[in-house]
Amino acid sequence: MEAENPTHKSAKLFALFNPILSFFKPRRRRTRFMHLPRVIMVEILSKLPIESMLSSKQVCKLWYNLFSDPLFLTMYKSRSPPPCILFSRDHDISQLLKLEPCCDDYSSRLRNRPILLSCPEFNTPVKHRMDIPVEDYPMLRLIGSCNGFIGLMTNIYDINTSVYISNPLLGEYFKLKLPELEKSVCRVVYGFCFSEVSGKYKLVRSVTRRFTGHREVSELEVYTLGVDEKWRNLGQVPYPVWQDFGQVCVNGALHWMDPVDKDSIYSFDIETEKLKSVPGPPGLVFPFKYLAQAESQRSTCAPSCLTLVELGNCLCLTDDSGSIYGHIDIWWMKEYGIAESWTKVRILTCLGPAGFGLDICFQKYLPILIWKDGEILMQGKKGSQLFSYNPKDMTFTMIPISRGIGTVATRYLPSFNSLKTIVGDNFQVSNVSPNES
Amino acid sequence: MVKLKSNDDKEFEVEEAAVIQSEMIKNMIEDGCATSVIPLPNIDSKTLIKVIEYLNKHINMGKAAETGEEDDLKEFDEQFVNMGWEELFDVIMAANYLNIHELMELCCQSAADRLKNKSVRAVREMLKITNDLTEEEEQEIINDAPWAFEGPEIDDTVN
Repeated sequence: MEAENPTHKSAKLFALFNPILSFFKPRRRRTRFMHLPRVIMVEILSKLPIESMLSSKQVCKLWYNLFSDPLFLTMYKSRSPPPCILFSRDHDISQLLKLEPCCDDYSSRLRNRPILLSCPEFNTPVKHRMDIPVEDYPMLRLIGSCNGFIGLMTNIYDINTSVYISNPLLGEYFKLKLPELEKSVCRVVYGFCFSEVSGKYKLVRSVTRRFTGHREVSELEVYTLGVDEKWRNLGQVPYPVWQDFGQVCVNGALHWMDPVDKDSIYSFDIETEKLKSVPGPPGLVFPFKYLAQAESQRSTCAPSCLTLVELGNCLCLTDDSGSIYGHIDIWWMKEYGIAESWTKVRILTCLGPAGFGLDICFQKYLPILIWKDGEILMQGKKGSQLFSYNPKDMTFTMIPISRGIGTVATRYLPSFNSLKTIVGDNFQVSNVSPNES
Repeated sequence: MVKLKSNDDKEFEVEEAAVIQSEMIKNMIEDGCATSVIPLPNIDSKTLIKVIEYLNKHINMGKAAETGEEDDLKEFDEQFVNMGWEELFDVIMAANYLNIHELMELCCQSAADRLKNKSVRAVREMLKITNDLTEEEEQEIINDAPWAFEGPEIDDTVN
């Protein structure tokens, strides 16, 4: 049999020598993760969900360093991670909501509209740091959230507040050292913004001083993080900023509404630091019966039906005065700066999610963000519901949330950039002395 | 047809339409450098067979959407990445070398999906990584974001 099958024999011989032959071939190394080039490691790790990235830092020194590697930071940013939402309750940032793409049940393909997936209890990220005095905790309030960092202040009712800048993901914070303001200052309002042009973060504040005869003068001051040693005074502003500067950044400018003269919208160009007035919707009747009254009572928060929001880099104005009739209006400034481009779109909230009570259909809503396919994520102003609104078929979908949420939803872009990259160590910040200005 | 040679001297014939999904080989063909056998000194035959399997399946990827074969392709991809870590890393290295973007994405995503929500201990064991951090350093990292280390979704199993 063996003689009839010589190939079999040679195969046997080959098998015998093969281990010896392969010894002379380039030795095959078992490929392990740690053998991969850095760029591939980063490619893989940057695809992890946020929580896994943070816990993965504990794997080894190399991984710890990878998550602050410029290569990782660039790659993570280029993936344009889905936005998150920070929820604050009673002035306290309580939760981080992560929005992730959901799968279509039929084709199990990813849709471009992310939905809520998880909601880790966030407990004001800076809290566990001992450096923040305990008495500062209860009053920590969000000033603003931009490009991965958030601004926090301790007491909105006290002009001598403490201001913190934080990367909540990394648990980093930076306390601005603010010398005491002089007694004539009666109101300070802070805003936090980011310039896409220069990549600089800026704090703005409106400082109002009261002089004899109840005469008030408001001035605008700016402080660029990591650059300025002092607040820079940009001079007097003809109109005050009352409650807050808000979060509305469109076209590289921060926008807010004049609480007194409600058809006025103001913009602060974050890069050039120029103030401008932006035209409101022409002919919009402002239902502000209560306003004059509120003003006479010197209230700092006049009741308002109008709220400025940014949706898809478009300046929008929501009018929820019709909420009791089951609708809210969103005005879109289709072409920035062009008064005639304001377009009204009515959302019939009375057609709200099936099976929900009248209190849901007839409440006030605030849009939070718009997805690529045009769906708008909205928060009920009563604060406990999130809805996704589809403008094409005018339907609402309630977004399930595992735990109770806060009352104010703020968009937040997760970032792994360290605060150290924008503020040097022990960077001292001081106020502009009134005599110098 | 284009001939590829693995580092263990095995030759494979691949259709040009399939092989040009590799940016590297596409450039070689365009530059007229692919007249004879293309040697691939970084890729062994076992890995190259997997890569060619992928290239052949994805040959008409643009058309798949029209012909309704997308689901079929998706199923193939799912099956394709069903391999051990070492094999997966070999394919990733090959995809990186040959510059096949889609394959790279697929495999890296698969790697990330396997690590997702795993406990630190499980990640170390799966990827054979030795912990070189001190206890103090580890505690510091946990303190920075304690919420990332807790929760019912954290999976301590190794697979």
